[in-house]
Amino acid sequence: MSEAVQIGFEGRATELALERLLPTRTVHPEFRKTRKFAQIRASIREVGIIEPLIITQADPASGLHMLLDGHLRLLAARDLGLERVTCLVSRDDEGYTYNKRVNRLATVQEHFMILRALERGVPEERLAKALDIKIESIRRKRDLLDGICEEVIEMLKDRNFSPDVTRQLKKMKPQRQIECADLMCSMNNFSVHYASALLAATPADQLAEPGTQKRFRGISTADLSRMEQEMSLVQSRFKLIEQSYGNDVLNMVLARGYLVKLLSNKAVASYLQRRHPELHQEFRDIVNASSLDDSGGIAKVA
Amino acid sequence: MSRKAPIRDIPIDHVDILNPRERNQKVFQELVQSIRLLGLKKPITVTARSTAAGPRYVLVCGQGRMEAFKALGQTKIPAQVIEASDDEAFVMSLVENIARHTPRTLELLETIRSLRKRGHDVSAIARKTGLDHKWVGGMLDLLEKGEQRLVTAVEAGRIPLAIAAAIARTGDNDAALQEVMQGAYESGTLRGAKLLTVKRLIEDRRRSGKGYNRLSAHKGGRQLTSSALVRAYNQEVERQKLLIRKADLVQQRLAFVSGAMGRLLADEDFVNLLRAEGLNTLPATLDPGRKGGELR
Repeated sequence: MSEAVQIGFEGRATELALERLLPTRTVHPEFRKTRKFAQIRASIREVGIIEPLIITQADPASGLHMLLDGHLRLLAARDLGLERVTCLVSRDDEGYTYNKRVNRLATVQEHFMILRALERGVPEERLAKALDIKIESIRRKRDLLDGICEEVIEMLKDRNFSPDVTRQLKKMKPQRQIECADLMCSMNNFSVHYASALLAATPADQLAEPGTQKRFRGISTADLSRMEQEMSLVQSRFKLIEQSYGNDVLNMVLARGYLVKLLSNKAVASYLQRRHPELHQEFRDIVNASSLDDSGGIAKVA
Repeated sequence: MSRKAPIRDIPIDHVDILNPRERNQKVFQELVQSIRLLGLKKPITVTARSTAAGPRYVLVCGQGRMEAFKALGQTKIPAQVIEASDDEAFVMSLVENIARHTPRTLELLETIRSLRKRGHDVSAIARKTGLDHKWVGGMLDLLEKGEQRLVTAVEAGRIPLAIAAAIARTGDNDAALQEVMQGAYESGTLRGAKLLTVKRLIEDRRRSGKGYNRLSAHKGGRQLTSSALVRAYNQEVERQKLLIRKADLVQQRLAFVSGAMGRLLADEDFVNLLRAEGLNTLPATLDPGRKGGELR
């Protein structure tokens, strides 16, 4: 038999007037202007508050409850003119765990959830309204992965990005899609601009429809082909060093540590200075460089 | 538009998940541990259906909690039972997953600061949150010093707290920072990729300060102009080129030092001196012939 799991809340929820809740954290005033906040507000208007707000026992003197979880929903409820909200009394008074356990939905997962809801017959207008986004956005999220190859879906599955990113990728052949997704992952850059730049630097024969002329207003064909060449050159160099760089830095830290010991030993330092002055000078430059790959000293030896 | 629904213990295997969400295993394991240690912090939400075979439930939210309960060997879980059609349940579960804000590190830590302000000491906070008490103390300390950048990196698991604390202590002294890195490497707290992360962090901290503007990361226009495209392209190519340059430099420098050491080790007087001064333990890279260790 497994051990019982402790239950951290009272057995029943209660409805409370908003004024009886005392926030325990501040919400940045700028946050109220964000899309996210507008979305939270719209969703409450459409389907109500789903999970109860979590509060402490009332303070015996003031009758107020401290709010542990639900600060944004409380603000939204106030904006919407709600008078009462459903609350659940916690047996503790910490708000950390509720916030820590929020698990952001990755873009690919969001796509699958929206797709499934639509397939089960939930009208797209309904979703659009509850999530406060345009119907076109719902469709873009639905079509997120059409024309994207399996390998790329796997590479992007834990990431967050705009549907416009895959819109660029799907204009490429699978091999090129993989190359670009790989690059985006190693640069940790999933911006639409970068994806578009990668598309611009894709040779015509690696486009999904090679016949289509790439059109980028304001960039000449000559510039595009220069970008293409440069990018492929830099990319292959980059892939090579990506693997060795970490190791080299590590070895360099060790080497530098040893040089520091050598130079801080008076006898050794003065021996070096007398018998191997050129090495002594280089060692000093390396030790004094502000970072391991700072171009002090060694640059002139190279 | 709020609802007051009963909370009941319901059998986990009577709950159907309409719209399953795949999740990251690591995050899931953290949830399991948190529930095991601190208990279930809020009920799941379901809606009831009666079928020929008896009552069933459709899950609205709490898939993670339910699976964690199962993983902990439980057969029942407290659930808030609401009234909703299948369509509504679908919409609600999407809303619960999408229309929500993922707290930033600093917001998260505000909940810790709030506990402290209410008079809980570090060990009480650790007990309530399941966090390590050294971690709580260290983070509160960093926050007080205004080291938001370091706090964020520690919370994300990018660098160990002890290193962050050491960096904060150095102020802006470069030599001291180098020593911190060296010490961290030698004690084994920083290896490989982490070392690079710390280096980058120190560079950012020097360039842009200790503070951290949590809203600035959200900006960025939507429309794509050709100049924005060229800019994005140039930026990334520049970043790659810079990294290539740095890597080349490190490689050259390494080759230089090991070449130089080779020459020095051929000098018998020098080797004798090293031995006399107790400096005859070389890192392997500098002494390829002997694979490191003491000189004969």
